[in-house]
Amino acid sequence: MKKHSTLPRAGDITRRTVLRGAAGISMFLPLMEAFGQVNGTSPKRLVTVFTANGDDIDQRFTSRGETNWVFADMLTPFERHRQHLLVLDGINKYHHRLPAGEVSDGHQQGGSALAPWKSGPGSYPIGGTCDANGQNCQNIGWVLGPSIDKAIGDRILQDNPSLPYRHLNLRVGDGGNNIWNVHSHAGPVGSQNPINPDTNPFSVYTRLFQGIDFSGQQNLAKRLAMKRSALDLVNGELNALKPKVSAADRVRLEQHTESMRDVERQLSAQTGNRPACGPLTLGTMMSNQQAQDPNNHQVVGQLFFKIIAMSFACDLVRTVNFNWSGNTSDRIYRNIGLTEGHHTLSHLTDGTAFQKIRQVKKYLYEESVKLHDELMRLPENGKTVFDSTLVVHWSELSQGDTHQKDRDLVVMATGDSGVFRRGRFLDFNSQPKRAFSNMLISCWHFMGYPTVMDWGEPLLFNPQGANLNTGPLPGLV
Amino acid sequence: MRPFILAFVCLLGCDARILAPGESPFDPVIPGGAGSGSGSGSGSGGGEGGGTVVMPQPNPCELQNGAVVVGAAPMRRLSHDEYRNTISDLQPGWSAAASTQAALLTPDSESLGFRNAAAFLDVKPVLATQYLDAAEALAAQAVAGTNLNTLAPCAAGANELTCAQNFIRTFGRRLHRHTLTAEEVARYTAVYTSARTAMYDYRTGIEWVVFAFLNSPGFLYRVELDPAGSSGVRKVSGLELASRLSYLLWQSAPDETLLAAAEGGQLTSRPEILAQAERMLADTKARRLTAFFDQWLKWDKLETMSREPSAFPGLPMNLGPMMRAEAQNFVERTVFDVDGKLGTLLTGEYTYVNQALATHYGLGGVTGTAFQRVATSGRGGVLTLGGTLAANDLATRTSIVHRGVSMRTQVMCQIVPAPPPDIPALGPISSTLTQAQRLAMHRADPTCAGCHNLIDPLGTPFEAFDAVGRARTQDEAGNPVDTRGELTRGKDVALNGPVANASELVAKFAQSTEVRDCFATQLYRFSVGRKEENGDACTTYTMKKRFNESGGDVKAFLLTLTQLDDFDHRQVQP
Repeated sequence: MKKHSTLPRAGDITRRTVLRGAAGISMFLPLMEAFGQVNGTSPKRLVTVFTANGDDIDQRFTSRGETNWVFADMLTPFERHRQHLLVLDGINKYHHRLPAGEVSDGHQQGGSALAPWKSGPGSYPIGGTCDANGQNCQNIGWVLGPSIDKAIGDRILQDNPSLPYRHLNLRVGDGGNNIWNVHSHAGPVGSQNPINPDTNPFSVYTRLFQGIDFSGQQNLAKRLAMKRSALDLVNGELNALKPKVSAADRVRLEQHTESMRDVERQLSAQTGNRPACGPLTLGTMMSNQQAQDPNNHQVVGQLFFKIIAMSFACDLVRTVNFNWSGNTSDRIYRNIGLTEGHHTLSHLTDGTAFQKIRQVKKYLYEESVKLHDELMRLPENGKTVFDSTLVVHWSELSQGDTHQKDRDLVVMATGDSGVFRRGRFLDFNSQPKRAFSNMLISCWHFMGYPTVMDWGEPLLFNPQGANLNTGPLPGLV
Repeated sequence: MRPFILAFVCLLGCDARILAPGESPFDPVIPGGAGSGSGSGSGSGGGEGGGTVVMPQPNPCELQNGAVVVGAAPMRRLSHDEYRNTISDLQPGWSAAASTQAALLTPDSESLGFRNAAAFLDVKPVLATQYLDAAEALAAQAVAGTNLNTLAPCAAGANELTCAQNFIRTFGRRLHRHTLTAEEVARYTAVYTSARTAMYDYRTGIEWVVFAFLNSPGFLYRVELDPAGSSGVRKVSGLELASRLSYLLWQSAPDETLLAAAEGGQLTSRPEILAQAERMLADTKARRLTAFFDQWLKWDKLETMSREPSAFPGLPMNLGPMMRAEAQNFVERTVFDVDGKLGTLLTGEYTYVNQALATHYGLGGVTGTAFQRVATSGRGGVLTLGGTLAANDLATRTSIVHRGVSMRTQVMCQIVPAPPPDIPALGPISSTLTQAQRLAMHRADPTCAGCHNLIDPLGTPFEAFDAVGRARTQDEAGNPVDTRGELTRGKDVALNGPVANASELVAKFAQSTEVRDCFATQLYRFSVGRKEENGDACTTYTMKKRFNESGGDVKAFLLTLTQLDDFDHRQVQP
């Protein structure tokens, strides 16, 4: 008997196909229910939301009381989620403590702050050192360790070996994958290992739901069989090669092996009995180039938010590193009437320029809180997905014109997760300032890892006497 | 009240530096410093520019006392360009699909300006999935309809397993760049057999094999396996040389001629290598060298170039991609059809434009969509091409800082120190000031002057060209452009000094040992997929010396690379 049919081409999806695929998800759900269990307790989730170039330090608040703080205009988009917030002002990244040659410039190191490690040598001609004789010069490179989305994602996977995705790393536009545009890192500690982000929501959606049949059960089975057959071969070749190559090359082959394991798990992804897990209507397909178009940033961002929320509802992944841009972004926000780039504006110092900076940030915060809405829309165990999710809004700098990173604003938002005392403003401007690294420890704790106390480079915690002020930020719980 | 703070300080990352008490004025960082050059340029003297004095250094090759010393040769995953080219060259009918699929792969990490750095070319989960998707699309097309009969013919009544194994041997040899071992043939046969066991037909079996091949480490990685127990430096095998040659000159796999030479033992001596390299350099595939320039000078950014319509009304459609095509035409034709000299690349007063681009630039006499050579006056060389300039500019205006940094780092191979963590207050600067006025204030401030004196004078000469590559006499604010600049802190101290415009600056670059050595270094980094290291001292010294002796002949430089110790030797890695 001959069985052959043309396979659908990945990356060649029309709107109709996406919708059909989405419908396929619905049809497939009853089958998947047989594999899944509802345990009644929602897993914790983490999303970091990056906006570039810092803000306007003196124009954040008009009143700073713990429960009766008042947002200045720039931050008013957060007001409607007030009861869900922990507003953290005056956080210090302490990057200036890193020795010369182990720290990149403010934007670069700041943009990698979710990976609280020194920078290594290597890739970029801005920053770097030479010896006393002007010899042995080294360029600066990437940070030497994992970012929190990947590090927590790895831990979660250890505890939940069938979870399909370790983490997601998403960026809206902004071009190539250089030190300015990549904020997620794989580690391990001591290695430069940037993770290049997804920039096309349609590709991400297709990949996340790749195990779902788009055109009939038999074809799905056939495609999966072909992939599994190839996975076996790839693993065989990798295993044959590894003992024969250098230690450095072996590390990359191990990475490949790990990736194939991830792919294998993803091919077997089951969403279980999760009532909110269902199809998404994404609209007209975008090419990669269209997804990079600055004029499409708003729609791309919102599509990513829908996908993040649904991937949580389907329990495909639990940590997400989301970025509205790379650091140093010079996107022009034409849709709010601006004609100058964001980064360019951030280096002008008069009132007009700062008014425009606040306008950009206010707009991006308006867009960002829509993620909260998407998460709230999805019911789960009698609550919503937002009730188990921590959203962390952050930037690479406190303020752009000075490149300072000692008065950062971090806004945390979470529903009724029972972890943090919410609806509060916490002022960390008084000395000793707390570190961005303390904030990251708080994220670990939220995610269910309370024994993690000193994750990251020691220099990036604020020392107090002989002791490092490690541990979480005080006052959150 | 807000403190008014340093304005316009950091468009790329470098701006000011706080001087410690007693610290001398800012010096740029010159990688390698003395001794890294070819030793063929001006080498001493103080000069008003205050450049680093280059002292004569011993030839590093002589220090090796006859031993062969080479740098590391890490395993290299194919870059996305190499992935596309390898598939396209193997199956020309798949060329369009290969291009489509390669364009869907997540762009690789940039390092030292290039997207082919071995250390960062790995396979993370997203790329692994994308490889699967690409392979699925390519394999489906490969066996669709009558394609199967071309790819893996099997006459009626023939043993299909035998046909499949013939295909595996033929296809695998080219894709894996060596004749498959019996063990390898067995592995791919198992893939075919698994399809048949699942009751699928011959066509599907071949489809699965193609799919598996396109995901296989043997295809995706260029691996050079050291014999067990070996150490030190060893000779590279003929097959390893074949791949080194083809990925250096074609960014693709060896063709049948090269493979046959390697397997026939005719690719061992340097004359044999040279003969193959000369043959390959004459092939049109060698013109893929434009990919190096594309990344070195950031022309790839032009595909998504965006300009503010209110600042630049009425631009032609696809201006960015057209300027990229112009730039690619310029280097391809200069290297392969003109004289191939670096000096011509840097100063040649001509370009290649189509009608739309000619109209945009205000050049007459060009009709049609084909890119044609036209003379340019007062503007010459790759650094003054519209695309090279625009790749550094902003949506509303030129960027003197970006342009200057690019000259200092990409063209001169110097390092610019990072700015301080907290930039000090400079004073009120109105955003109504022009770029030139704001930068002048920075250069007048002792705190900022060190860095801005280093950067700005290499950017201002290009002010005669706007942010979409057109010649101009007035800046965005309507002021007459000031193109005066200065080459400072160059290693060729005799060249340091003021310039009146871009033509004078690029003329200095064309005479500069530092720039010539930097170009060689950049092309070397691109070819070996890493930064130069200690073990490369003899190699890089020799290549720069020969590049100079050839008068900066780019094609000769590529041939030189094939004749050095590090090309036919390999440092065994623990």
